[in-house]
Amino acid sequence: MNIEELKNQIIDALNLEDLKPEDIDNDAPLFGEGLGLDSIDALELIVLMEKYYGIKLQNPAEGKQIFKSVNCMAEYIDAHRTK
Amino acid sequence: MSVRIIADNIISPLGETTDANVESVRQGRSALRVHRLPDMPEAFVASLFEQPVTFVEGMIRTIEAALDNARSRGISIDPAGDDVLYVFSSTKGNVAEMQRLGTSAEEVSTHFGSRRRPVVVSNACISGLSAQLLALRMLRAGYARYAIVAGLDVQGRFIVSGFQSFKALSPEECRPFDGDRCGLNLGEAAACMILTADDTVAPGQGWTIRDGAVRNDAVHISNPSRTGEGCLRALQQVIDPECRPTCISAHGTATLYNDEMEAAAIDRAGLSEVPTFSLKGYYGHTMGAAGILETIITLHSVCQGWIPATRGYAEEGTSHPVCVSGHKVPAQGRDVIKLLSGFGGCNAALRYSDQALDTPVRTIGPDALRTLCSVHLSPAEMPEGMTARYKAQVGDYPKFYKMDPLCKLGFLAAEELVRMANDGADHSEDRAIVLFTRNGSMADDQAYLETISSPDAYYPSPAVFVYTLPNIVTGELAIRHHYHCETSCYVLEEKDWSLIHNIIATTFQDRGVKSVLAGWLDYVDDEHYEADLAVYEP
Repeated sequence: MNIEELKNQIIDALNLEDLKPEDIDNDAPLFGEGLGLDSIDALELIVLMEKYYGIKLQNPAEGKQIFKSVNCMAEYIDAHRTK
Repeated sequence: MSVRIIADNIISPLGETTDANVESVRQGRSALRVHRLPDMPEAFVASLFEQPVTFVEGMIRTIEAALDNARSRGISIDPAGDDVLYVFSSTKGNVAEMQRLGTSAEEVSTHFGSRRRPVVVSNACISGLSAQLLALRMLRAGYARYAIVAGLDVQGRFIVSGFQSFKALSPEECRPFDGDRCGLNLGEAAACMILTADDTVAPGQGWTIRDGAVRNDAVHISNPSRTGEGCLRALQQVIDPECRPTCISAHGTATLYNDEMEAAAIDRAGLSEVPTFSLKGYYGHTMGAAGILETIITLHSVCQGWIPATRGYAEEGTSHPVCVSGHKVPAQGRDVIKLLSGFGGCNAALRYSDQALDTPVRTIGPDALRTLCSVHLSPAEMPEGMTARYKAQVGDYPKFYKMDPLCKLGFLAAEELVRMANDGADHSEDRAIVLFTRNGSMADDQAYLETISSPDAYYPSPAVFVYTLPNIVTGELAIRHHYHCETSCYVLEEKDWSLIHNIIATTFQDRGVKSVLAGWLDYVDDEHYEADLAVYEP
C-alpha cells in the first residue's frame, strides 16, 4: 500500500494541519508521545479504515495494536482491506 | 430563602405521570428494548416512546401535566404570567428539523402565553441539573415567583449514530457500576418540575434544593477525569460534613470510564458508604431530561421510604468502593445528592432535603458586576480569518485545528481576555466560564449530518459529533486555561443583554466563584460570527 497516501489520509482525518507526511516517522508510536493524539483520534482512525479500506473494527480496543505506528497500520490494512 | 419543588411530572415509556414512573421503578420495570432505525446499519438498545414525540409537543405535554399536578395540590399558577420563568434543558432539541434550540423554546413558552424570554440550558448531559441550578439562582435573586424547568431530548439518527461512532453504546441492557458493564443505552423522556422561592405558596410542602454546583475536569472534551476531579469538586461544594446523605443518585451511565470516575469522586469525598444508585437501567440515558427525571424519581422514592435498585448491577466493578445494590434498600433520612457528568468535562452536584434553608446566600444584582476587561471579535475585526489569527497570536496549541468554528472563535477571544485579565494570581479554582449563544453548534450539526448523509456514505465522525454539543467550547477553554470552576452554556433566541447580565450575576451565588469569563458567542459562517466576552468580578 502507499504509505504516503495513508499519511495524508491521517493528517486530513485528524486535522494535523501543521504536519506534512515526512514529519511522521513510519515506526514512531502514533499515540502517547509524538503526535499528541487522543481517544477521539483513535476512533477517527477506525472511521478512516472503514471509509477508505472497507475495514470494520467492532472492538475499539483492537486499535491499540493496529495504531502502534504508521507501518503497523499499513500492514493491518494490507491484510484486511476489502476495497 | 428556600427554593422548593412544588410540582412535577414525568412522561416516559414507563408512564405518563410521576406516580406511574415511580411505581414502575419500584417494581423493577424497564423500557429498554432493541430498536432499529431506517438507514442505520446497526441495531441498538434504547428506551423509546411508542409513538414518536416531537420536541415541542413533548415539552408542552410535560409542562401541562406539571401544572395539573400543582393544581391538584391546590396551587394555581398562571403559565402566561410575567412572574413565571421558563428554563429548558436539552442537548439537541429539535435537531431532526435543524431548528435552533431557542426557536423551539420560544414555541413552547409562547404556547403558554408567556412574554418572557425562555432560557435553554445546553450543558451536555448535566443540562437537567444545570437548569435546576439556574432556576434556583434566578428565584433566589427575585427574578421570578415560579420557575418551570422542563427537559427533553428526542432520540433519532443524529444522536444514535454519534454515540455509535463513540463506541459508547452497550449491545445489551446497560449494567451501571457492574464489573461487566460495556456502555450506555439511550432513552427518551420528558420531565418537568415547578419551583418557587415564595414561602406563602403551599407552605411546608415539597423538597428544598439546598445547594448546587458545577465544576469542570479541565482534562478532555469527551473523556471524564480518571480521578473524578470535577465531580469531586462539585460534590465538595454541596456536602455538609455534619450530615450524612440518605443516598446519592449517580449518573451511572454504565460506560467504563464514567462509573469509574464517579466511584473515584464519591470515595474521595468520603461517601463510599452512602447508598448510591443509577436509574439508567430503567430509562437509558435520557440526556436533557435526565437531571430532572432522575431527581424526581429519587425524591419520590425516598419520600416513600426506599432507595431504588440499580437495575443491571450484580458485582462490584469499580476500583474505588461505592455502595451500589441490585436491590432496593430502605431510605433513612431525607437528604439527597444528585450527580451528573457530561461531555465538555462538566460535572454537576445538587443537594435536596426536606428542611428549609437557614443559611443566607450571597446574591448580587447585575449593577454590581465590574468588567475587568472585554474583547469583541467579528469578521470586521478579524479580516485575516481565525486560522491566520491563531498562527499570528498563539501558534503553539495544535488542538486548535481540531476545533469546530464556534470553539475556535471562543478560543481566540479567551486568549486575549485571559492575557488582559492576568493579575499573576491562579484562577484555576475560582473563575467560571458562562457562555450564551443563539446558533450554538448549528454549523457543526450541519457538518456532522454530512458524515451520515446517505446509507452509501455513512461514516459518522466522532471528532465532528463531539462538537455538536454547544457547551464543548466551555470545556475547551477550561482545558486550555486549567479552569476547574463552573462551566455553563445557555442558548437564547436573541442577544438579550439584560437577561445575560442577570444570569452572570447569579453565578456569584456559588461561594467558590470569584470571577466569571462570560458573554456572547455565536457563529453562523465565516462571514457572520461574533464573540463579545468579558471577565467580570463582583
